[in-house]
Amino acid sequence: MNGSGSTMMSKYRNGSYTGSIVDVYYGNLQVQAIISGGKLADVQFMQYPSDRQTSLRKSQNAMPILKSEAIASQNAQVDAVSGATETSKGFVQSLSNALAQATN
Amino acid sequence: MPITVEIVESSHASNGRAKIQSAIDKVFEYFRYVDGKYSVYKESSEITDINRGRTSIVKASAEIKEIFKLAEKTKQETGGYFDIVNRQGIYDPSGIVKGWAILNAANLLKGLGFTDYCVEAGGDIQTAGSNSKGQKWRIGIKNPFKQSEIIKVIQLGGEGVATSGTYIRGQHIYNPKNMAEAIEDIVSLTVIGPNVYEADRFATAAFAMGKKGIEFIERQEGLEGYIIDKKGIATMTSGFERYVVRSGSPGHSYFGLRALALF
Repeated sequence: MNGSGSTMMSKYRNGSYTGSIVDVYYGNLQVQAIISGGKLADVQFMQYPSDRQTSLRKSQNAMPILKSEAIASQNAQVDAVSGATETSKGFVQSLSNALAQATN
Repeated sequence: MPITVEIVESSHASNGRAKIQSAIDKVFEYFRYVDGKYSVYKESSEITDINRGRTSIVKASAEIKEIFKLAEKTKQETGGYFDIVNRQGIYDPSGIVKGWAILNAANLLKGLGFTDYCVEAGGDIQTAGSNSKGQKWRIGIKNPFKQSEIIKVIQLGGEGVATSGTYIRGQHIYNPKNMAEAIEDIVSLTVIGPNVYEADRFATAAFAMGKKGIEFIERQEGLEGYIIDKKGIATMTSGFERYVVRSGSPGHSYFGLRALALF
């Protein structure tokens, strides 16, 4: 991320920050984040994936432009977690492990 | 923990502790049954009987026949990107059995009169009603690059969610339409559906499509998705954000406003 103050611990510094260009399959997307009052106040699109021939064709299809973002760690209380598990070979294998643990 | 069952005690109904414990026991008993029947790692399972040629699909139990029927239906609905025949030429229905079994377990609880519960097995989840705080169930999505972290929080009240991923060491998912091709451009795909069975079968199929999988989910009515590529860039379907709990939004329980952005 360009601009000063990239990684924030508790507050964002006011100002606008231009994000890096992200390839979203059929073009580039670049956003500008506007920080106000220490919080993300607005997001402006600097580049839409419509400035290329192929992306224009795709934009004319029914498929809307899907939003992309860099993943970011969240500090939050949750009731459960969804993700790939130890043996993605199958539910039943991780089930075997769980049952083995439960009977000990 | 590979399996979690949470049942919220309701104040009005006669759902006392003993009833809840008995219900949880029934759920685990049901999962043991599913394991015994569908595990390709068990020599004594019915699916292994079929794979070894000791019996045929035609002679199999009604339930196994139903699973094969559902698998075939899913294969057609996904243009062949869902297929229970694996690279070794073995029938492995785990990509559909998981969601199906969790939904059955949830319906078992529903049948017992419970209205607020959350059943999680192998990272796939079915929700109903509210959590113990009276809010929608808060589900975190794991960071594929650091599994102790969460990179998104969604809130569900009756929907199901499933995540397909290849970030577990040594595990790969292959394109059933080209078995030599391991899917490598994406590492995680989370699908929210009307129930966990729908979410699971489509997450399994869409992952095999690679980056285009999120477009497939976008085109399906009733499904929303969040895909993460190998560079840590996520793309979401157009209706996904209505499920997202924003960190820093008021009225939600969270630990502070700290956000470490990965750029």
